[in-house]
Amino acid sequence: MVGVDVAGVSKGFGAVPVLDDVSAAFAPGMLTSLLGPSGSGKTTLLRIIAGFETPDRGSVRIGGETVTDTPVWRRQIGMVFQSYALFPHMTVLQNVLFGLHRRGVRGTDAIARARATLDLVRLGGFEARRPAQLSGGQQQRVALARAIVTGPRVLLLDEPLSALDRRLRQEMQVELRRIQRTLNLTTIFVTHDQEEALTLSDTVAILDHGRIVQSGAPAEVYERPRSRFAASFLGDANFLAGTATADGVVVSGRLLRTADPLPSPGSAVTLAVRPEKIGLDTADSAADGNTLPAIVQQIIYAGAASTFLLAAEDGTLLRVFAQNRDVPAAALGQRVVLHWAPAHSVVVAA
Amino acid sequence: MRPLARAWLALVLAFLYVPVAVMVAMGLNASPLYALPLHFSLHWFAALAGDDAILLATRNSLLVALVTCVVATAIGTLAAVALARPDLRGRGVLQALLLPPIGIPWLISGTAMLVFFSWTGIGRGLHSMMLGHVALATPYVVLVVGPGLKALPPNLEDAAKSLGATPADAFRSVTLPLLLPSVVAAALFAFAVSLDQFVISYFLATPGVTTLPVLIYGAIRSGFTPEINAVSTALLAASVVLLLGFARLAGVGGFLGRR
Repeated sequence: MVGVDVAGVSKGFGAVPVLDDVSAAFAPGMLTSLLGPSGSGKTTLLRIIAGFETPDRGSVRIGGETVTDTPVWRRQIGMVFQSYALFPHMTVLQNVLFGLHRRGVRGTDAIARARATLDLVRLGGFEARRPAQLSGGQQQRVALARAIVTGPRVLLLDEPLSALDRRLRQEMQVELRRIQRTLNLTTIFVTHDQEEALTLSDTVAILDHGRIVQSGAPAEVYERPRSRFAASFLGDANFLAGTATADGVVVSGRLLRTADPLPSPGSAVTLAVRPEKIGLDTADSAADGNTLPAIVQQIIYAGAASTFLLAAEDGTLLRVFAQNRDVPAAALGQRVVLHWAPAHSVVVAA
Repeated sequence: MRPLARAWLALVLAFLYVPVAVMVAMGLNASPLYALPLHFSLHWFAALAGDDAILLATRNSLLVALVTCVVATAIGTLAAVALARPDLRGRGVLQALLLPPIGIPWLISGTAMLVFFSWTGIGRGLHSMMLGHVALATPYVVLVVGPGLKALPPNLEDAAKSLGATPADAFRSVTLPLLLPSVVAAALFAFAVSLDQFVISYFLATPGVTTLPVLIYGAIRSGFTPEINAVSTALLAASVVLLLGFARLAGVGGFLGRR
């Protein structure tokens, strides 16, 4: 069980910078998600760790050993590709044996290990099939088995679940987590799906324009986003622009309090508030915490929950997410009062 | 409309095949004077077996075609692989440069080769024919293998490398087996290009060292015998088989049998 360290890595393709001085530590035995929009550099970072790309500057270490100039085939990694990249001319068993043979494990020993790994991914009995005879989810399991059978030092996954439909994707997330925990495998997982990053990872690293803008435990990154980008890419957020005072932030004449440290009075501040942290009342009853009057503009009913779109007095649009424990009495066009705890007003960099 | 379309198609096919059919029929006709009605006979084919000049030319044709096929397929396949590399600089120019040789009239290629081979001292004969045919067939191989490479699923070689395979091992154990239908198709095409080549062979042949198409041309100038129909029919059959094999493997010409 070893960790991966990336230090000061920059990479450009031609004149286009893709990664800009990225440093990150991937802890041993942990699953880290690299989350970002397309073009953020997340896949390039993964391919540099794998050894498919060479960084222009910076270094990569696996288990303390510098591997920046070590070719892929000597890095002892396992990789799962978005397209699975199963060898179509080989059976499932031959696919899984491929890496074992390359690492000097042969004969019955190799076959026993391949079978045990296929059992681990619940594909026992499929050894003689060809990839084309398998469903998408089964192909994904073969790709995973092929990547982990050799006992890699680190498992790298490049959007492995994005080709699966929603139900299968959720099932595979659970499977992947189970297998990763069973093997205690240091895993780096590239995704653009924020829900996947939250549910699957020990650590989430958010990338934007070639930089890691924030990383930490999923709850930490979700509850305390540091920037507008991090708040809006991981989950939904309402942004309120105001001016700092000694006690809080003044937004269209109302004082909103926060638990975060504030800049010097008079400077501009952006507060982020998650839609599910906001309560909605028809009367001005909630005295504690922050309150903000708003007009209901739209109600999106989705069974278990409803999303309210509202306009504040200064015209700022807000989203409020409410579980339908009781159907809220608010109606379209009605004036309501929004309220939330000071701890849920997060000061973010604009 | 449909009967009319069918009649039209029949007319086109007749236009394409009637001259060839007449030649084949006369090769199988007993009469040396093209007399009708047809009396079926394999007499002219049997005569081929006793004709040393034809046997020697056949041997030469097959030898040149075989060497061309092996060398052009190897060179062309590797060139196609190099062209498919994502980090190749100047790919557009290199790819464009492969096409003009196909368009250069054979008469010009032949003249150029004759001049070049005499000037460099390579001279004429089977060896220079092989060189000429390889140069002629290689662009076709690149054109056939290139799309085959493109049709392969992405990331296969990367996957092999992540599993510990060196680049050479990854190519040999993953790419090459999957590319085999395209490579074999290209090889058949290269063989056919060489076997049917006349102009360049004619320029590079020396008295006594000739190929089948050159021999046929010489024979019709000096007096036409039905034996020529027979040998032409044999050459035709070989070419048709090669091209049908190519079409089947490369998935062109209405053969959609490729997996």
